Amino acid sequence: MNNMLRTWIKDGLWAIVFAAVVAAVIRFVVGLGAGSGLNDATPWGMWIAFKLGFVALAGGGFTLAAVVYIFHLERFRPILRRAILMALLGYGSFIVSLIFDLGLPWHIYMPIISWQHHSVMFEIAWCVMLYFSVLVLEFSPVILEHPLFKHKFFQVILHGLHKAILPLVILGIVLSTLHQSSLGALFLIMPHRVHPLWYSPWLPYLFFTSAIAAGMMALVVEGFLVERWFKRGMHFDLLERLGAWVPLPLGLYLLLRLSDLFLRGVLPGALDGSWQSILFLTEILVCGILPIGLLAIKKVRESREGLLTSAILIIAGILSQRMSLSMFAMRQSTGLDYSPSLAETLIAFGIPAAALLIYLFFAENLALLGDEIPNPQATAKLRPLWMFSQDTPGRIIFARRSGLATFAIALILPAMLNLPISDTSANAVQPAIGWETLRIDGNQTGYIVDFPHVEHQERLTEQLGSKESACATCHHLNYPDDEATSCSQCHTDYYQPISIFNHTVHQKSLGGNVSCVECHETEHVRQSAAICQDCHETMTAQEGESVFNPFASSYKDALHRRCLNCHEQKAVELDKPELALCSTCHTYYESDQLQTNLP
Amino acid sequence: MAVSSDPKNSSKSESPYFYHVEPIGETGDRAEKFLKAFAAILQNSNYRFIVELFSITSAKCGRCSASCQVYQASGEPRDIPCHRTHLLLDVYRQYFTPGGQFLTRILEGESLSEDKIDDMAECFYRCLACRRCTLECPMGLDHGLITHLGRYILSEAGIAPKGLVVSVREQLEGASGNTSAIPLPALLDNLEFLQDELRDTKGIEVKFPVDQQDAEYIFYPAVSDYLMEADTLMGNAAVLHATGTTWTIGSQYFDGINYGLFYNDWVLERIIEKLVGEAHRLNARKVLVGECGHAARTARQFIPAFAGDKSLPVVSVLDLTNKAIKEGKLKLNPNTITERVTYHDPCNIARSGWLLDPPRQILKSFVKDFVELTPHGKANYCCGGGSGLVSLDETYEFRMKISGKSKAEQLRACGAQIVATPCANCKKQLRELVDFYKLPMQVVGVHDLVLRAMEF
Amino acid sequence: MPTWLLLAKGPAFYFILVVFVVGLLRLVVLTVWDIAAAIRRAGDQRLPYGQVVRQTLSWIFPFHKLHRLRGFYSYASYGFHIAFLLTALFLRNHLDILRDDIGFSWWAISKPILDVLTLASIVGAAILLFTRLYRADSRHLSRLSDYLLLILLLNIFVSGYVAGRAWNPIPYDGLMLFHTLNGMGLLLVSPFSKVAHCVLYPLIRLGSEVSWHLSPRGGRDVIETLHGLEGRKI
Repeated sequence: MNNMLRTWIKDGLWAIVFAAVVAAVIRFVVGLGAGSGLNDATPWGMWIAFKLGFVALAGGGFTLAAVVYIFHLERFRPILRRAILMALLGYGSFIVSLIFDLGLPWHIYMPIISWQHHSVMFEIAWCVMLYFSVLVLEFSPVILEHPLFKHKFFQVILHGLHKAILPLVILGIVLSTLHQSSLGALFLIMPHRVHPLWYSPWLPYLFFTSAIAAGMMALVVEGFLVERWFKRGMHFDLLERLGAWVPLPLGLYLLLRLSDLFLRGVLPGALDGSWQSILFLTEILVCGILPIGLLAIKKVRESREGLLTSAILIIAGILSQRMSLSMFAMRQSTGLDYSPSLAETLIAFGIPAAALLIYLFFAENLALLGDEIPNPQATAKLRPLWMFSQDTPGRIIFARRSGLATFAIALILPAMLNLPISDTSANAVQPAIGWETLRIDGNQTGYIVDFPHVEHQERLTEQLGSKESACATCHHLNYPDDEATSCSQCHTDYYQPISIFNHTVHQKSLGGNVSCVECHETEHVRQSAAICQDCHETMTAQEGESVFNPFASSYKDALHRRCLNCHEQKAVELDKPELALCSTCHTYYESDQLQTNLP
Repeated sequence: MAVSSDPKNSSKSESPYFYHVEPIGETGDRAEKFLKAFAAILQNSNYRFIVELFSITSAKCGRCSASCQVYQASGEPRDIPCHRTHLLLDVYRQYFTPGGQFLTRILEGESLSEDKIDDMAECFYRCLACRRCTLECPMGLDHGLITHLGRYILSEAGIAPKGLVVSVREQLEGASGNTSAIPLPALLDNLEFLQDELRDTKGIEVKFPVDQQDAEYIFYPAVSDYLMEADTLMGNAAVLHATGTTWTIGSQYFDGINYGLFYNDWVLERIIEKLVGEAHRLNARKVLVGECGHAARTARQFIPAFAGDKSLPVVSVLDLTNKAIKEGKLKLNPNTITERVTYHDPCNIARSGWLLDPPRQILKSFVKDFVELTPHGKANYCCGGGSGLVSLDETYEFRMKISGKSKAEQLRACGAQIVATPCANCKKQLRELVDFYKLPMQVVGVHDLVLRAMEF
Repeated sequence: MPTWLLLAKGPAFYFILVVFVVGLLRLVVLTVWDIAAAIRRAGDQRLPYGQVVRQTLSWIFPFHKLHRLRGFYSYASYGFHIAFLLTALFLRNHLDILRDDIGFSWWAISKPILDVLTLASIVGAAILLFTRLYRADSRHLSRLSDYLLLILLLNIFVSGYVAGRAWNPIPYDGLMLFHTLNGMGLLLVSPFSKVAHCVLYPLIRLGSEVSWHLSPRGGRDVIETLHGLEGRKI
């Protein structure tokens, strides 16, 4: 990297910071609502997403502090200061962006004097304040070592800090652990706004474990950047060790996340083909399992590119998880779209830009990076050579463009052809998700009904005497060899009745073309067909019908009828009129009812 | 024949390979030099697309292993043609394709180690470049081409056999201007001697014309023939005399040998230029190549390629003799040669199917007991000294025990008493094989026999 | 519709089909371009086209030479290629999907014949795999991708064959999903692997011939690139 490029990058960062300052002025002058894309329905947006990212990347601070001071792995000390600075800047960014995010920013001190113990925010605020102070104390020796502070006064402070470092570190680890977890806990209070693939009651633990992984990998990426920027060797051996150990927290995070989704029966939703599912799969497979696999191979881990690629993938995966939770995959439950305003975006990017500049300032002026170590890059002999050929420019351009065009055509053509992603009609029903509690959202609007499945099953078993008849109350017909076919498997259209009779299946199972006479005695027309009950004894006529009707009512009707019949009856029987109210099941509109849905 | 590759003078330890190395260019990091040379060659030559094409389609089926006489004799995996090709294609993939480079950095790290270069330097010179495997590759990969390219890159990276380099240096820049360092007076003496010899033995007055302007043919034999194959040359001269055509030998350049084919395209082109230049100086109409496999091939293949407008038709002396026999210009006594004769096809003229019939027709026209080797023709075995190895005396053991093993067995099986072959290199190698394996046969050139049977 | 059929008619399949067709086409265009440029640069532009075509054709119908070397392996390989192409291109089920996807198809070969051919390709692929594993020289040459491709092909054949049988112990739709995914995998990797020989094959011999036609001054330019105008000693 030459000086010219360095200057350009620095100038670019400064430009972003200046723009963000202007945006900040606008935000404070016109207010939160007018200055940002946030509104009362979607109060969480880009800033929160970025904030979670900052804190995740700051995870290296407490991890490295623990490694050096608690586990006494002294060889990691050369990169400890960078880790602390990264954490300091991460948390600093968090606090700065919080000022923009608060509706009444001048009340930011309120948690200190007005204690709301039951609020998650209270814990977060205190942890941030304390941990940030601890980080400042942890980092201040680096500043005080500068010749500018050679006065005896500062030296006394420095001496004191050195004495107090261990308690500070322990305090820092405790605080940041608490804080990382409580950020995750924020989402526990609003499970319905979070996409089921990202929601988990174990979010606090997920945040903690993934912050360790992200922090470690952030140190790796930082090492590479510092090497390029300052043209100095990096502690590749140390970074390689980080790469060797990161599968532990990352694997734990993935294991927790996947097993929770699996146990709660949400995991099949990852295959439903929606963009959220693709994002989820990418996060897990490409950014989770793939880098673990890569880092498990010693050769890969010890190659610079292998380590860097894995680190970037892991960071991307964890940032994606934070951003999905708080921005991308938040259910648009209000029906109001959120898109960040320009000012909001500028502020969001301006803060990390400022943090980078501060990092560069410290790195240039303080004993941050430690002793010079020889730069292996200087002796590396081989550079990319693949551009050599006698090809004409036309051929080179054609080769490159046609390669890109192949993928572009391949991506665009299927989209233009408007192919069916599933065979069901436009009113396709989204199956209910879960087991203990079924999350029903047939028309995919985000207006969820949580149906206590097991609770109904148990109650009905008690009332009817057997589990079979309890299940059969709702699962009135099943697929062959199936025990409890879901509603959505027959009631496949959300609004219209649809035939459940599959001609092909019958034809095939009865022996192909010779089988017509099995059902059609005379002509081969629909009218001449036998009735279902002739063969399927369970398909009896329902109320008001003379024979079994193979038309399944619409999903909406089917569910309403099934629930309401019983609920209305029980409302009278048990004298609980609220049982028959819409709001009993459709809880969402009733804000005070939200409480009952907390996990 | 090579000027200074005397195995007694140079100790074995000076080269890490089974041949002596003449360092070319400045020393430095070999991997870097290799890659720079590779890049420069890809940039300036016609090879890039074929390397790309081979590296995509190479199926690694291993069918070539059964057709390679070196691998069959040595049993070492490094001698499998496809493996040797893979060595170079792998470097190409890892350093010259974006995808390959990325994968290499992720999975393997730096791959072009010193060992790998040593491996290539050894493998590409253990290949005889006979291109026999090319006939059996279902995919159509030309492993001989890759050997050619591999040796070219190695030579530009500073690794080339001393025997070849020294000879070529003498040919292009030396005082004598030929690979055997024969001074012109010596050549003229020699020609005089040949004339006398022909007069004494055959009783004919044949002239060896030197620097005759406007001749039909300018004659380029392998220059070593002047020293070692007098009979062949006299046969050539007798045939030319009998046909009544005009021909000449250039006094300023009279060497048909072109070692460039074996290790370097630059050298190849410079020798062709010299050869064509002498032909134009004497205003000859055609180039006549003597009994030499690679000389015939390089002249025929590369004179049109490099000479452009100055290109001349290339005729092999075998074609010329065959035509003369057909036209009845030669009187050959069918009772002269009573021994059983067989014919060895030099790879350079037979593999492409070029000169398969003419030599056989020549021999069959006066040899009573002619037997074929199995296999023969396009699919024949190489003598074991192809691709210039025979000029490297230090490779004797390899040529005898490994590369020439199949040939020796084949010769033994055919039971001939005379092996005729129109190639100076093949003759040298076959003679060494006959000595080494104690085969009861004599190795001669085709025109040696023609001369013996000729009557005037 | 079962998932595998949805997959075979859905956007993912189109994506892969386009990558397969356009990707291979691109390779052909690039190679032809390169060969044309090489001929233009060559000093000697005459080429023995007849000989090249004859050689190329002789390996498409190599019946008189397969036995020459490693006969068993060569016949297995050739039989595998024929059987694979016939089953892949002339199976009624494949053609039906193709007609749905791109609007046209061609005649099919009757099922019993294709059953035999499928078995033949399974046996062929198994022999190829076996040879790679148990012949010293083949094993030495084989790269990971060579094994993976054969395993991919075996997956496709075996699952395709077994799925339709009466004795198939595995759920039909599951096996067909496996079949479809593997098939799509094969199409997807084709332009990036040695499978590309399916379209590049006719160009290889031509290319080999062309690249012997060196360009004049090529060697000198190499020297100038490496050592500047003053060149180097021989």
